[in-house]
Amino acid sequence: MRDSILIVDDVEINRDLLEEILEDEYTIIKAKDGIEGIELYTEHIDDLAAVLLDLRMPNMDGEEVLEKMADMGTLAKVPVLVISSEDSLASEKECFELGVSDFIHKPFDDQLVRTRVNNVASLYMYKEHLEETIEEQLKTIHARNANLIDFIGSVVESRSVESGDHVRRVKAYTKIMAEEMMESYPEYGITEHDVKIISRASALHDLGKIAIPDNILLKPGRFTEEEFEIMKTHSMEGAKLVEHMKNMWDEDYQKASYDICRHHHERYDGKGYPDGLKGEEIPISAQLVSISDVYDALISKRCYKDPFSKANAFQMIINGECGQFSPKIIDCFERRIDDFEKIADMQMSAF
Amino acid sequence: MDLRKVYAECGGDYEDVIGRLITEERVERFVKKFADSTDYDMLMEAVAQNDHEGIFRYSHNLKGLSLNLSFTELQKSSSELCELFRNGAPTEDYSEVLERVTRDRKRVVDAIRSNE
Repeated sequence: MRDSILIVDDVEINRDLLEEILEDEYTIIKAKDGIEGIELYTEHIDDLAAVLLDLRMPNMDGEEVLEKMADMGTLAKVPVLVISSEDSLASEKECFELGVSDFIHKPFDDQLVRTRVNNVASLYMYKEHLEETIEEQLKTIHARNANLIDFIGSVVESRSVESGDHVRRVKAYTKIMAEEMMESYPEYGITEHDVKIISRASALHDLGKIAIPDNILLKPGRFTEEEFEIMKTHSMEGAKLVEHMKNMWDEDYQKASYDICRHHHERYDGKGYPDGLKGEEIPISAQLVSISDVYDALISKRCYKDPFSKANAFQMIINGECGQFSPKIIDCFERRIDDFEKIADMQMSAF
Repeated sequence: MDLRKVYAECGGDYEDVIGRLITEERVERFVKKFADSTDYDMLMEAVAQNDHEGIFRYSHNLKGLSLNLSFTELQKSSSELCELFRNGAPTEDYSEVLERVTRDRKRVVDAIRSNE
């Protein structure tokens, strides 16, 4: 609760006079010079509704106090009103440039002092309240987006009865891969924010399977060539669906989801689908999801195969038996295989 | 304390001070605080040491206080003294202005003390 006023003035009578004028409405904290002022300011920063600051003081003058406050980055939070008897306009301009909100002119007038302090203080508190509200709402929106993406992912997953919590594991592997890539290969320019976006968007990688008929999607055993061609359309179908969700979420989500849907079956050697992209033509988000998807498919039981052991799955990927990955992707995978295996061992409820 | 009398005796503006500070009780308390304040003594110490910055600072303080308490005459003389030292060493003799500050300040303190 911001209910305190800090008065910084070297003249005791001025401090006491301002205290009397304001003490009905605020808790008053008084400092006799700039040094004491900054000490008390730092100590009470979360309780302060405003600071009343004299400019001419011994030890540390008001200007220096303002510079220190600017360095602390708190001038936007707590308004400073300068106590002034200087009637020079130039110095008022300089004060505004230094971040001062308003002035208390001498001689002090009971009503004017109250009104000015109340006005500025309530404006800043209202602003702070709005900023906090917006920040909370942004958090809510982001969480809602993420939940929605997870939900859509799990709807798709629920059609393929055998895949269990595949979507959630792929998301966890993708996060590990993206973190490792950010650390080890800064050339991709992956940020903490990107890690979040890519891992969340990975939940949608098989979105296009919604367009695959049951007799193919759920077929036990091998696909015919024709069936496989239909199965392969899920990448493009997913990308098209993401395109239709254009105004639903942030652009960065949109882009990552699109790239992941469309390109998570591309291969580094150009032998993947649907576009046959080669090497770094494949968006990094899709490369990260691709290896995660392959690993999870290997260790899981599917209607057409039994699960491979974790050791086998690791070897098969390293040996390029499941399609080629970039050397950097393989390097990240090798570095974090312990984390992959931990997730592979987790029960569904652990997510 | 008869504040009207105090202000009449020291060349102050009672209507102004009561208009701004609202209650007689408050004005009386702060007027007494002024009589006990040391800014004038600090000013004289700065004069004795030829400390220009100090003279500026304490005449500035006196000016501010007399503004707040509507001691019109003292405000005028202290303001004049303050201006002479605003940019460091004064360009003219300041002894006459200083005498007026001393006289005006004494009038204020005497008026307060004699009406206590």
